[in-house]
Amino acid sequence: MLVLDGVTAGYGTATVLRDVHLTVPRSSVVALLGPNGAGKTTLLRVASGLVSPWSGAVLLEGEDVTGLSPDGLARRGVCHVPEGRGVFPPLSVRENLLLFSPPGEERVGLERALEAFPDLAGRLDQTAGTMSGGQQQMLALARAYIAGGRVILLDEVSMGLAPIVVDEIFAFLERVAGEGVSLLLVEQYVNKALAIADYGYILSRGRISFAGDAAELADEDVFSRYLGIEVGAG
Amino acid sequence: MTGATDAGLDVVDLTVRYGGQVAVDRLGLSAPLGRLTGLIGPNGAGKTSTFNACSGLLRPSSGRIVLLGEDVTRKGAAARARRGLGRTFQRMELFTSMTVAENVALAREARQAGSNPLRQQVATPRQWAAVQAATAEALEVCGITGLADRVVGALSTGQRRLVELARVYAGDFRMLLLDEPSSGLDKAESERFGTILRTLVSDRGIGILLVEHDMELVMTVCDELYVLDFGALIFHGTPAETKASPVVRAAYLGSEAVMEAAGLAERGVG
Amino acid sequence: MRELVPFVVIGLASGSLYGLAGLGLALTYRTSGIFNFAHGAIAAAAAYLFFTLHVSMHWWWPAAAVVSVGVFGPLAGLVMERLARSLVAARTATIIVATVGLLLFIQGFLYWHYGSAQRSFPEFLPTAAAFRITGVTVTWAQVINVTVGVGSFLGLYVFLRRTRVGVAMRAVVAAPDLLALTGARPARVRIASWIVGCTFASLTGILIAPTLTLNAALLSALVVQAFGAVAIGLFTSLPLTYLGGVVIGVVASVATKYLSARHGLSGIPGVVPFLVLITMMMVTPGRKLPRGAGRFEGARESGRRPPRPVLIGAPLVAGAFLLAVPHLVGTRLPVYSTALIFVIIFLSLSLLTRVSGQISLAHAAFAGVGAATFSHFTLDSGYPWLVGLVATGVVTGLVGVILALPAIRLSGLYLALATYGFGLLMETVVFQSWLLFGSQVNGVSARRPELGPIHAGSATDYYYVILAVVSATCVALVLLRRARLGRFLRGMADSPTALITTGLGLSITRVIVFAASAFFAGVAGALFISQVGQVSPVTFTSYSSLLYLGALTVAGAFSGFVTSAFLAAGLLVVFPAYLSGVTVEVQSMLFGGTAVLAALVSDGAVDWKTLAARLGARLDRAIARTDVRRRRSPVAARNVAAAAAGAER
Repeated sequence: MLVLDGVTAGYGTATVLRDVHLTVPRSSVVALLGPNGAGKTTLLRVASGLVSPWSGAVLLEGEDVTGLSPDGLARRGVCHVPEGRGVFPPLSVRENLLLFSPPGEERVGLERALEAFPDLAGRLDQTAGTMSGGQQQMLALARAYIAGGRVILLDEVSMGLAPIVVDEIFAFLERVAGEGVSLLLVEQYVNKALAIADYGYILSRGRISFAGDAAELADEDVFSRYLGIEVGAG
Repeated sequence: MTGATDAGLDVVDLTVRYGGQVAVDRLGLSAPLGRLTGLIGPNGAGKTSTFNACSGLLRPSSGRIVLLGEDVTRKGAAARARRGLGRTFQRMELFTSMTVAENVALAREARQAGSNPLRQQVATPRQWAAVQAATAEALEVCGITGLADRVVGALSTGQRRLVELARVYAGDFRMLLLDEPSSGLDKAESERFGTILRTLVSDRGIGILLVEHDMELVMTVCDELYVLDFGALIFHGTPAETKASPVVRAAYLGSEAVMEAAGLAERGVG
Repeated sequence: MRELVPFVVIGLASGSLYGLAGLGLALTYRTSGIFNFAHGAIAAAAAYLFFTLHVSMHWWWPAAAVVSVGVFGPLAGLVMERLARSLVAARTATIIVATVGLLLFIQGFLYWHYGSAQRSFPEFLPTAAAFRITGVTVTWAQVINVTVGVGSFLGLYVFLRRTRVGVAMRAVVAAPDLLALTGARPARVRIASWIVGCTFASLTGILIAPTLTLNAALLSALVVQAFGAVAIGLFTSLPLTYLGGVVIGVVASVATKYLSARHGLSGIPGVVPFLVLITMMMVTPGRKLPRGAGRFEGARESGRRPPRPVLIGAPLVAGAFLLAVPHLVGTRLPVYSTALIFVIIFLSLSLLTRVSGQISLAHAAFAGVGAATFSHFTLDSGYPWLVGLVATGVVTGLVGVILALPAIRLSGLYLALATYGFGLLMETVVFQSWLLFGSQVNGVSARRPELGPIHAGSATDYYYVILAVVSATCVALVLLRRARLGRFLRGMADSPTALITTGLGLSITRVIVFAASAFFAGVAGALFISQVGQVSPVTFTSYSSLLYLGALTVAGAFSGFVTSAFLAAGLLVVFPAYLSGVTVEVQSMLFGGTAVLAALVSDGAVDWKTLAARLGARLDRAIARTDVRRRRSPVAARNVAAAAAGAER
């Protein structure tokens, strides 16, 4: 579905990703883990066209889409929910959903979004930026559901949210995955991410240091790679 | 806590709010002179906000910042720097059009000049000698003497990190705040960086408060760690204690792990 | 109260148009991050186009209006969007200079093509009475102006809330990346907003021209009313922007009634928008102002210095030439004397803009203050020439301290706007006061020095006096730049935050650099009035400030600190003396156009090596692209195979 083939990328003089190979197969969930600053966000930005790779290629269903603009990739079915809140804060919920829907399908989009997140129904005219963090994240995730994307890239969608909201978000992600869409998940809740993932990758200092089945990533192993230390007796 | 002879930087009951969101929540920590204190936590935990409040670039909602025993909460950033607080930036604030030597020298010159209009224009010969000596020493300690005449804009990220460190070294600060100084460095550079930090602390008696994502570096160089999550302090102890702490594990691994730590889940922690 | 009604009516009609101009400016600024100093110039161009079609070519006015608004506006919008797109990643100062350059270019073109004489612009709208309020006749033209203003505002408001493109315009302000991620094309959204913005400008231009007469400067300065309106809306709120325009119109009109008869204050109604602008800039906390496009960091100066022989040789050769000038140029000597004086003006401007990364659109005002002050010191108070010169510098330096106050609070665009407002205020009000030029049309006068062997009547003697002052200035500024202060100034351009966090009191540094810059500009003004004998306030207008900045940008793109000052003076003063076709209008076009180009190709600094490399790379890419297109499918197939192999790993 989505393949990063030997991608090297960075900003200015700093190289962030070095020769990264990563595959998101059709209808599967891939968890991308690694310490902060490893380059996870940059990897997603390369995949969605926000950053052009210095070398290597991005393939979408076998087609070379390297260097395509982010809006072009979005129209081809890549849906990237960026770090922070993927909403337009000064716009109302209704206006956010209007822009999230494919052109011509605004009404359907609104209905599907409210069906997925009934909480939003009472807040259609509220300014998105005034909602709680959890509600904003629901709104951002609604895009993943109504945009008709085939690959969804999620960057730390649970960051800074209360545990009960996080559970709700993961329930939603499982549901989306169940509809046959591919997910690439960057998550700080490692256990939760691995629980719904088919495959796992660990990125450290811009290189893939592990790639394999999610089940292989045993708890302890993840923890040590994640923190870059050996775990003492606990 | 305050007023003690080794008092470096004390953060007392610090709260920072952006609009309705609490970035730092009644944080208290103490980074004494002659020690390397680490401040770690997941993304968005409030580390950089804490730094900005400490260095005076951000006005805290409440709480106090005590520098070398003096309450500096109401002082501006430049005034705090003149009282001995230096810092580096995650995104590096360098004078990119100047040479490495000029960059390093300017920190000392800025401290000497302060807000004195005459001193901002020219240096006395004694001051100039002090600047030259401090610059040479800082370049030496950070191992970048060879780069002295290179323009900073043309350097690699790793070299720039060292220039920024040399700059705060030359500034003769008693207390340093270092914000992710190793990001963008490779493993070897990062190790060398750690060695330099230890030298600063043990030989010169400087106090360092370090925000860092590279756990290997943090665990090897720090004397003491503070762990933040959601803006609040969740743990405080030595690196060894931190490694073993279920609370820290939980913060990094997520809510399931919290339940595990609390003994609510069946699977053991290991 | 009753006698106020006619002024309120006039104010509402013009204020509604100011609001309209403000809406266009605010919309384009918010969606693109580029603040368009040429917004008023676009309005002026539309008005001139309308004039040509309607008056010269006798078109029916609705047809002329459709072409000058409905066709010209969108076309201008397309050009502006293209320009803005190329500028977003440049330094803030470069962006400001680029749109100022565009203003110079358009205004120069209009003067050049239509002549600088004011022409009456026909009131094409019906002037018959529509109705009467408390005995005051309100014309149809006034009713239409208000209706168009209100209608455009409401139309825009609904458009931004009800249509997908409109909502996307608001979204692109908040999060352009996210908008692209939803599949919308941010470029297309920005094009739409530039089209709306420039159409609004054109509409304002043709509607306001009948009351202003056809005058490129007046029409271009319309942008200031728009600036004021936008400042009231804090560069964000469209309703407040429109309302701000109306308030400015009404206050200015009512002020006319009370102040026009009072000597010394008669200029005030005209400066209401600048006063509003300056006040808003001074009282609004910086964090409330939206951040526009552009990078703040990165000084213009590179650390490189030319090789030693050049460093010593060049000043010697140049010095020898300048010493010989009186024997070489014959009757053109006054041109060279004036040019030398402008070297000082450019050096002092360069100190602000090039060395310390500040921006000032009011530099001519310092020279004006210098000229007038020198006249008062030497003629009225009887100071000796040299004492007067130094005292003038000190007084002007103090004026510079005043301008440093906004610089302490603001940076980038907002500093530029505050200084522009300051310059206009000086030009229209302060210059006319007895303190400076007084209300005489001829202005003030001064004499040349008579010291020892220097004979006041000799142009050659005075040339050498000027040369001595210029040399002293060069030495002083070069030393200053190499001293500690110079390093702080360069550091300030690179990273103010780094200087503050290492302990420097940066406010003091800013005050020093503004005072130093003003000191030298004031000295230049004093030398200038001695040279020409008599100076009127129209010599040093805010338009001159823009022209100086344009000339310095052009010269600075190719050369260093001192050289660029000589080059700029040559371009501005010497060049036209030899080519009779090079009038101020042509210079305005030339400097403006080149400033825009310099901003576009290389962020304000043309480095031939990089330029060539970049062109080469672009050519390579173009060749590669056609190549890829030809062989697209095999390449893709190979990539797929590689990817499959990667997936198996």
